[in-house]
Amino acid sequence: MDGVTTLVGQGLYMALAAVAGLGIARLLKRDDTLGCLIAGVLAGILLPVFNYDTGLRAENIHQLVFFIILPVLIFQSAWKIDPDTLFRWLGPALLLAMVGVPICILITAALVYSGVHQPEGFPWLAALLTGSILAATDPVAIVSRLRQTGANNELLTLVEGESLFNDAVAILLFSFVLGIATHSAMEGAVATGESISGASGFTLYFAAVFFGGLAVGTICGLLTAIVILFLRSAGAALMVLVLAAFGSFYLAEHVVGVSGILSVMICAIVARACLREQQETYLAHAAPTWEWLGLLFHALIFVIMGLVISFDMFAQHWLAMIVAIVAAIGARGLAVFLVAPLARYVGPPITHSWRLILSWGGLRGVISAALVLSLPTELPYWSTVQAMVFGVVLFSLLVQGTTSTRLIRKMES
Amino acid sequence: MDLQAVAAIQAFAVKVLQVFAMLFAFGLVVLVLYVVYMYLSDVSQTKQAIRRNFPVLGRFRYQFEHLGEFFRQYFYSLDREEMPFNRAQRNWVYRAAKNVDSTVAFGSTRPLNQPGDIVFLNHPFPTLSKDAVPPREVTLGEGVARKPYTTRSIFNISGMSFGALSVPAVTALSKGAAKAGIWMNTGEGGLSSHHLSGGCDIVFQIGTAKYGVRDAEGNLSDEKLREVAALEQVKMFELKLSQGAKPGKGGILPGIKVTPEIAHVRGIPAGMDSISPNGHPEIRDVDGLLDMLNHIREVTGKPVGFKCVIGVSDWLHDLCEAIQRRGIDSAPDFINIDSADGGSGAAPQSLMDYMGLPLNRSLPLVVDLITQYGLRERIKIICAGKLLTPSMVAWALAMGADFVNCGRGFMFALGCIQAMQCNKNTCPTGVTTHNPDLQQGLDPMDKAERVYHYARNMEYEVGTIAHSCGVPEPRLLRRAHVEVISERGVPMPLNELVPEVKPKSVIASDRGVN
Repeated sequence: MDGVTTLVGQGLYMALAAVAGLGIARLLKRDDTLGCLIAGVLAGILLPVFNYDTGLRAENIHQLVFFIILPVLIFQSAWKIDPDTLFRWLGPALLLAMVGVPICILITAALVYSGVHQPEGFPWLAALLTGSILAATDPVAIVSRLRQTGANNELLTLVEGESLFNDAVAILLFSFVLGIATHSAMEGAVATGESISGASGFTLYFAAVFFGGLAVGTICGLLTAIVILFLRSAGAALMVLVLAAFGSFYLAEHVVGVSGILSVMICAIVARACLREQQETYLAHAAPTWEWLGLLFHALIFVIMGLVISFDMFAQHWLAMIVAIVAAIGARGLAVFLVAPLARYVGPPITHSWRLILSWGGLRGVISAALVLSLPTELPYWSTVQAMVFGVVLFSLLVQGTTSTRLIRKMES
Repeated sequence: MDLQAVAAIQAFAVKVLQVFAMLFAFGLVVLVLYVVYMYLSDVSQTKQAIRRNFPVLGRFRYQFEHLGEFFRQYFYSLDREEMPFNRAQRNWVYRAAKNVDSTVAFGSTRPLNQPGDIVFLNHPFPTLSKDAVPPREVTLGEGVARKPYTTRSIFNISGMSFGALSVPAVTALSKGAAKAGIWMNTGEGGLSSHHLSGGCDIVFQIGTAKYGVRDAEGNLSDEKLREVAALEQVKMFELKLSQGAKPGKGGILPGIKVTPEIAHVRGIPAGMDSISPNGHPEIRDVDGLLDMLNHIREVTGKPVGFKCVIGVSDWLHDLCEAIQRRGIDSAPDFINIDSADGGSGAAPQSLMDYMGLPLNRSLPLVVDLITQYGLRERIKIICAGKLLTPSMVAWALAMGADFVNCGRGFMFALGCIQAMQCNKNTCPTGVTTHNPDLQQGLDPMDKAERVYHYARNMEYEVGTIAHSCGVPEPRLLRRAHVEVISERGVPMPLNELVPEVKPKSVIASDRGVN
């Protein structure tokens, strides 16, 4: 009984901080994310005053992130995308994710590795982890600006779809690298117990996790659509959708042992495509529901980030942060400009100005923050990676986020 | 044999089998779920009654209906039953364009007893090859325009705007037309560098929105008109009053087809529907029309005429009287009569199907009318409307036309397969789409050859008809060379239906005095 009330209290404290963050954002006329970050920092300062324990530990953050937060964020961004337009841009978006993300990760890793230049304290694996965390992009800020300027729907879909696939691939590769780093076949929080060795073993494992995730997602998506159609009620449909987001992840990750992220993503896309005709009837309230759920978890992540962030971090790792910022932006730009010209072989071509928007507008946000918060503290290079990613996310928020408005305006004119 | 290897192969085979079994099981599960989903989705939707009453099975209706289009075209349609152009006509154009053998064997598949069809009257002593002469030269705007236009060509490219047509299509037409020595009408979409690239003669069309020669308010700009007229290639100007597809409605170019380049050529914003007004606001009567024509001729110094679909004909009398009042120099240098059955353009079905007179009525009507008023030599007659085979061209010449314009025939030469999607930007052959993926199928160099061959073979075969009728060149064909099949299925002379008329000054003054 006591445990439950403590848990509720802790949750409420965080939620309160999130709401305060939104208030701060409104007052400062800045992005919600920045407000939540400030609120998180303030909440962290206030903690010793109240002598209150948030109960947040690195090990439960990992599970919280993977089983609660990521499913919602991924499902939400997959649900937002119009399936018909997505289908047209499927080729380029998949190309950017499947080819662009690995390239981006490798370039980032190489730059970070050579930039930090401490092979003992910061091995290749750490660099690859950093790379995969920084490959996930967050289009929320850029999308809202594109909507304000009334940019065309095609660009919006490309940005959203590309970032969705990006995130999925980055999270998958992150889990994979993390599994290697912690010497366990590990996807999310699930350790299969078997140890895997050898290149062929890894490849087989990766393929099983990848295709298994797709298969589970397809079945979950169809089941979701069937149940919603069977229940014939708007309220029930929302319930089923939220259940589908958590359920498809849990089922894939915990029961079957394949990629939960891919499962959630495919589940959302399949369900959305199947329920196109019910847009005005059973799904009339789906969009606002996902909006508030997404906003809540978005805000939570940044509050937690604010709680974790400290001045010492900047003092100790400022050089590494700068290296990471340069690496992240350079790698993203290179990857986009290398891969985008190939888009015309798999779908509509991506124009030069769109490439610029894609590369400079590829902000690092909530997914990167969530992933780095879920890093186990046993890893010796944990704090360096965290500092680097926080640095990049802050830079994205403060510099890229504000300048991209001007970039978009320039491109439009 | 090595036992170990056998075991390894066996293990591998079992693994492969397992994988396939799993795939099959997965596929089966997904299929079952999908059928259940379709069932539920069909019964819960309210838009389609068939799907609601016959879930899952009802969907086949829509699939089959879609497939039926292709089945009918490729397997079941007879040679002469498709519209607007049947396979026999299309094949003639394709073969002419490819310059391959276009002869047929074992008799005509054309039923020679359908009312309204025409037959030519052959001469017992046809023109010998050595007596045949090329078509005579015709001069438009002689003695009136500062730069009259003289040409031998009979069969020319009708007005199809840049915008309706793609860049490679316009380029191919321009090159082909230059090689064949025929003119190309720009359509109402203005003049682009692609029209000029081949070096052919250009007839510049001024549409109701005056694209290409408009000022910021959409009025005719003399300055821009002068700029266009300064180009040596531009030979004539044509004022468009109405077009066959939609008499009484202006041109429509869907926004999806208005690319930045097209918008620039037309002088309008990109991506927005380009809709022309349904008439020229400054022309409200025949005097306004003549004023406008003379103004354009004054500014450009080149022959000027107008294009329209004929409906009511009273105004033509008014026009001719106004010309007689003002003097013969004020007449248009040509009239381009468009048949009412429509061309490549997007149009409302009711206008395309029901509005205006078809060419077999309007052509003799106009020819006879201007002959009565003694203007036959002054005003040249151009006509257009499904005239894409030699017989139809020869018929139009016999009826009294000086030139024939053809749009869709040249589209077939460019590779058009009559998919009828000109208004959707999805043309599968790249003729009327601005989608680069679809355009890449259309090679301008190769298709320019086809345009050239089509025009040349057309001229050759119209010549052949003329020679069979015993005249040395096509423009000497007269109505007496044609018979038309009556409702009883028996041919009767064409000039009994539409007798040749002589200029009767009496009639003119008759109406003038009242």
